[in-house]
Amino acid sequence: MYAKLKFNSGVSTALAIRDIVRLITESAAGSASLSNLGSIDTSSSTLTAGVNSGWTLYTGQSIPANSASASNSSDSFYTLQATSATNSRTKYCAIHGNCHFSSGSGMTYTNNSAAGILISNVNDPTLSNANTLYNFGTGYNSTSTSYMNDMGFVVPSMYESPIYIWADPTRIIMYSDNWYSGRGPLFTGNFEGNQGPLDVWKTKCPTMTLFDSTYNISASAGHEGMGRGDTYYANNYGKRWAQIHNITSHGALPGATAAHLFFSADSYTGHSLDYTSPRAVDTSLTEMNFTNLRKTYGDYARTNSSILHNGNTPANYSQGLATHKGFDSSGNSTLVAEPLYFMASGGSPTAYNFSNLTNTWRVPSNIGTNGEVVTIGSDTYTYITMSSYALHSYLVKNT
Amino acid sequence: MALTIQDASGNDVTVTSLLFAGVPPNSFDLGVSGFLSTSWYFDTDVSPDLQSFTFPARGAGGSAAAVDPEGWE
Repeated sequence: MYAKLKFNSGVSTALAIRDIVRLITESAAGSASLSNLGSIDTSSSTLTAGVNSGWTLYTGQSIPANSASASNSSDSFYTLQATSATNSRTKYCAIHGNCHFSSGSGMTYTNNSAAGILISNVNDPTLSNANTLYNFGTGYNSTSTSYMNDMGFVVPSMYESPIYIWADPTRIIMYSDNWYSGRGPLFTGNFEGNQGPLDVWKTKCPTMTLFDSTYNISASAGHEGMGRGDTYYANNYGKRWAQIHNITSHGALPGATAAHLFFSADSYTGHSLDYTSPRAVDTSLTEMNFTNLRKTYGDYARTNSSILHNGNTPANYSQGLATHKGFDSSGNSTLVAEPLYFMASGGSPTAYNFSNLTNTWRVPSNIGTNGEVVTIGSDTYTYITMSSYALHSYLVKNT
Repeated sequence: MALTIQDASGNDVTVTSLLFAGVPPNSFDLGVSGFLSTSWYFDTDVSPDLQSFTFPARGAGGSAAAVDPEGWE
């Protein structure tokens, strides 16, 4: 399923979340319809049913009727579940408002429109709420309204710039070219990866949460990019970040599985995401030893963990972005699509590829128009440009 | 609506096919602690022409100063 939603003026964060989740979960049953949504401008929105999303609501959750007022207990966050493409494992993510974590009460500002809409990995969906530190991968761990628009899609912008959504069993992606009042584009989502030899005996599925933005969210990348509302990660500044979930290392952390492994980057032009120190928690939500983590995941990982590396490498084809190409068997030019990948140097035998299963690739900028749907072979893709810099664009297959 | 790249002669051509780049084998498999790659972007899978590179240990050469491989990029 993929869709473009333009929200009606005045819609609250809670009601926008409700619509997004209703669309995705109804797609799991093949019954998604714009007419079932209560807060969008249907004439300016589009929906292509395509492949059913595969994402359903976690047990015990439900979506109120459109006629119901926004609910701080129901609409502040929804936990979704799907089955992985490999080994049929159940995986979880949540779509929620920032700053909704408070003693199970959910958002306290249901009529407010200023909270960012985020997607997070969920480590343990059985916990009563996401207020447990780190259980959700993303979001400020309080109800403080001072931080709620730091990250995520803020709906007043969605009144003007539609939000694009792709949802199939391997991914949920959300994008807008203006996520909040002139802050520019945001490309975020949950992406399924491959399972390596140290992952196969585990019951979880490696996934990635990506937050790609050109706006400097400063220390919020550290505060809220790791699901904890204190200054612990204050040194992780950034415009964008990634979290890798449920990967298992050897070496310094033998057999330990990281529920969330976090990197931020303070640039979209020159640094990979592990430019600043990584942080991680294990599946018991206990912080992993920072010193060992460095040894495990990255003393040399700068070139290895190239989720979004743009500088100082061949990825930076400044001499001509349109020449980023290969050749098919007939010698015709082909566009080379780069994977989103993560490599734990010296600590894991697995290179994680988050593009193969999700059909979401990095491609050069300046080779098309942002948001255009292109047909390549027998497939259609949407071309998303984040900036004019090097490989800072995406090609998302419309499934 | 189409994407445009350049052919071997520098002429603009419409993208009609994709070449999906792979992830290079990681340093564990190579038995080195780091690597520099130059041409794997044009390969579809594990690259045969990956240029592996072994960083010396920190402080190698008897110097008290640590060697920072990040500075070598």
